[in-house]
Amino acid sequence: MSSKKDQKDGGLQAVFTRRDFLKGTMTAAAAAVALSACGPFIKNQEKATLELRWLGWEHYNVKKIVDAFQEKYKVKVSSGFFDGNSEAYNKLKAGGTDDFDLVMADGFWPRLYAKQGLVQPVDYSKISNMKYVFDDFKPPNYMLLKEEDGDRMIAAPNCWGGYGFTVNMDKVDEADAESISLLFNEKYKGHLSTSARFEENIALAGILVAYRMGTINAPRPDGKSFNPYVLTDEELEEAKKLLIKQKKLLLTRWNDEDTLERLLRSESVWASPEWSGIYRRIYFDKLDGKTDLNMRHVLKPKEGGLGWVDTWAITSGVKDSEKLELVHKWIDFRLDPDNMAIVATDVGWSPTVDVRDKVPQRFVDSLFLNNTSAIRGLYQFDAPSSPEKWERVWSEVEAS
Amino acid sequence: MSETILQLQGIYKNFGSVEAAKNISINVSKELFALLGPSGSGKTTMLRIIAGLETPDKGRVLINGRDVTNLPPYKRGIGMVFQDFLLFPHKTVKENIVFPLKMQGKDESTKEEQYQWVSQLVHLEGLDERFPYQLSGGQKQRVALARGLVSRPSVLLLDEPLANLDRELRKEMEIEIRRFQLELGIPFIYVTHNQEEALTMSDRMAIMRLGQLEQIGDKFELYHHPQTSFVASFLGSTNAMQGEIKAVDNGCIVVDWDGVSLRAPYKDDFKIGMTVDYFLKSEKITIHPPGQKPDDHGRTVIEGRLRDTIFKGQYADYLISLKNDNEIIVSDVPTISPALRNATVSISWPSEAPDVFPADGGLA
Amino acid sequence: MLFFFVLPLLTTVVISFWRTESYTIIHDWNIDNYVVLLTKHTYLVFLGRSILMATAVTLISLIYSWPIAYFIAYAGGRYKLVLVLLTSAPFFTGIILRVTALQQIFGPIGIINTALINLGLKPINAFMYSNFASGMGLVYLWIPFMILAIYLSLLNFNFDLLEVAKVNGASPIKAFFEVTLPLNWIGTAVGIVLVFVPTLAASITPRFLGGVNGALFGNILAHQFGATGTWALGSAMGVVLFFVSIIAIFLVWKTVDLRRSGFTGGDI
Repeated sequence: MSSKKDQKDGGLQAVFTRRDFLKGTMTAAAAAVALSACGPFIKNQEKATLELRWLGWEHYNVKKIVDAFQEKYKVKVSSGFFDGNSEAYNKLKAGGTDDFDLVMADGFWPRLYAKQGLVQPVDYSKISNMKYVFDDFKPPNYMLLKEEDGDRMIAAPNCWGGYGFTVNMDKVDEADAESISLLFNEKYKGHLSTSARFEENIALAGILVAYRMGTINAPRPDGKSFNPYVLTDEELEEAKKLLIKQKKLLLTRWNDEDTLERLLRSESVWASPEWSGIYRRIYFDKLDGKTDLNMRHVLKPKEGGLGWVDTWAITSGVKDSEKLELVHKWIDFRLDPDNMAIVATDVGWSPTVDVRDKVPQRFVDSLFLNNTSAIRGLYQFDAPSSPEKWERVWSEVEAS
Repeated sequence: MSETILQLQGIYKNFGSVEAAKNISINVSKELFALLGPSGSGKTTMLRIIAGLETPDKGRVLINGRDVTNLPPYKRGIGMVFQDFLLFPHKTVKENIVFPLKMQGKDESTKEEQYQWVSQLVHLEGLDERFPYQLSGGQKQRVALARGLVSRPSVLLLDEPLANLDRELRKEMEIEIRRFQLELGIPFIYVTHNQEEALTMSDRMAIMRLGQLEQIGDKFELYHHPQTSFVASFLGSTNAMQGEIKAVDNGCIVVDWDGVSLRAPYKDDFKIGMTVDYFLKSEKITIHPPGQKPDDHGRTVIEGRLRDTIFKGQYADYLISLKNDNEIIVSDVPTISPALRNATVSISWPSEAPDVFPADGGLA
Repeated sequence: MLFFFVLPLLTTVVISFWRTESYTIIHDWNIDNYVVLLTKHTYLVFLGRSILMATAVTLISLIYSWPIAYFIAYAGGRYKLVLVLLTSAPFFTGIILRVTALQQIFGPIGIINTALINLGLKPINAFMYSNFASGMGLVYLWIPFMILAIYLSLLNFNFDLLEVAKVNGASPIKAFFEVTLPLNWIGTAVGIVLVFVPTLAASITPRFLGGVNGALFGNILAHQFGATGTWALGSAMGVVLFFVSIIAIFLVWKTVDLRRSGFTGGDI
């Protein structure tokens, strides 16, 4: 399984940004230092100052917030970082539950952790700031934080986002903009682009195909609700055909965000999926008068789209009641609207907590803080159900 | 006088500020003609101008009466043999030899015919399929010659072909090349810096220095009757002396060479007090055994100490130390016993033997 | 030494005869991977594209490298070494930087197209996100190797032989094919191999510059390991690539006749 965050790992076939490249190198160093430092001292320090150890994405390591927590509760906080969920998963499986008290995960991963016994339930009653979390991220609207066969919550929501289309509204007709079919529209030949990642390309095509075929809301072979990463052979075949037709409409597929940003700003490309970071930058430039590009970010196309919610989970290694209290305090602290506001403006991701009155208007707009309901129609990132079949499909698309 | 095959008329050539050829005019008939001179003399430039690898700034080149000055090399009817052979290492002997014909687009039968003719001429039968690295020095030399001759040129140009051969091979090839020239009956223009080689092989020669013709003519002429200091000193084994004319009497002059008196024939512009260069070929000096004092009538006689003897088989070079701190080399029959080293001996030569020129006339 | 070299190769060969299912390798001996690679049109397309690209890149490199190497060897004088190192200078900067630099020059908004737009002309699309751009990128990438190989050969070449050819009536072109090229063929052949084989496996340059139709065998091979987790098929691709490279090297080797190479001395 993979998620939006996993897309930022530094493998050969990865979409990466400059930040993430730095993150990758720093991760290795930081993780090594963190883990080695943690090990022998953990037992001793538990007696002295209490230490909280969390494993997550590095951009959530905001100094202001961490320092404030340490100050407030007179504890020490240390962290480890990863680029992709599978990395963290493997770490925990290999005994990492003893090394970390908290782990971050997105999409389907919390349920997987729970099934494997790597995390324990979160007591929402101990997290007062849950009241500031939008209903969109709680049951019954968002179910992935509840265990699959049971009622206990296994993680608390943190931030969320989509994989929508950034569209140049001066070049694209209003009527075409809000649909996945925009990416397959002959009218915009030579001015479209997608990322080079095959998973999202097939998944988005899959959503469009299932929508048109009517199978998107019909019962699925596995009995679960529609997941664009689990497509029937028929849907895969149609998606393949769509993608082959799409090829001549594309200027190129981009491997890194810098290339896409250049292409969008120069108006060589008029529409492309992206995580809204580029859109936000151009939007801010527009507000500051530095550009007159008229960009829109379509968070959820009418057929459906891809999205993610990342979370905090408590590892099964936390047995001590004092520590258990502390981890809940951490989650509560992180979910404090003031702290989440910092995440919104400084880190740039959209909080699941309502911070609309705490951040400048331009953030409200560009982080879709008024639009959290969009998450209900977005399918969480995942890994292809059959890598072999998907590889074949992709090769056929590339070869045609 | 046999007909002129090759003519150079008033050739001038400069490379930047360097004058490689200044008004050179030469006529060559069916002979082995040597272009002799030290490095920088312009002899190689001359050869390249005849070949067509350089164009002169002024002047004309004519072969068999035809003006070829502006023709490319292969249209002039010349063949060329290069220093270091310059055989194509990646081609067989046959391919090397036939190369000029291939470049001229000749058909197979012509190529075969010419090849047979030339390989017989230079005695290269049976080596067709060998590669240069499998050949001996002498064989390589003959392949180079064959390649130069295969298209039956009107003139063969040779650029120091024997320069890098060992002594034995060189002597052998000198004779061979002379033989080919006589057999083929075409002019060979032979460039060399080795005066011995030039003397051995050529019929006539031209000596060049700094782009100019010092003297041109029959080799014996140049050897025995040099017209400039340079030619005198360049050919043969020559003792070079210098002094002031002390006296003039009876068609002779007497030159004072650091206290030693030398006699020489009188020439029109000689005056007393004039400084002259005095050149004397070693073999024109006779060495007398100790105790023998020759008659100085019409001869120059000097005494000196036999410093050393260099035995050369057919003759010996005697190194004579003189009382004016100079040394003279005498080439004579090797009859003086080596045991006589350091003995006082007399050496003498006829008054007509030396070549004398006014001192400012040119040996820079 | 052998251990580090042979073991990974052996592992690749072994895995190529197994298969994967959802990111796990299943030790189930079969030749399906090879059957797929050698019969399915899709994968043959990639192989064909790569062979064509490698051939084109090699030919273009030859045309560019020869004059440059010749000029440096013949006329370089005391600056020879500096000049040769300069041609290799791009090599020191790393592939991503070079690909980026090419984008800056040839891209839709690169220097060339911007200049064209300023002159009121249409930008040239072929320059970017096409196999043409990919090919140019690859030539730019590998040409230092070929220049070096030919240059080193020319260092030992006796240019005077060309005088012999000239005297005997060879035009400059004839002299090149009769004398210069044959005597420098081994260096040229080495250069050809040094360009052809890596280009065959190229993945990064086509990924950035090749556009949607630019996926080469190398791209798809890398994809198997980095993204789709289909390592068995990927390993089989690796083996196929290896053999194609060996065949290419063998074919080039066949053109070399040591007797006609100009090596003197020693018994051959």
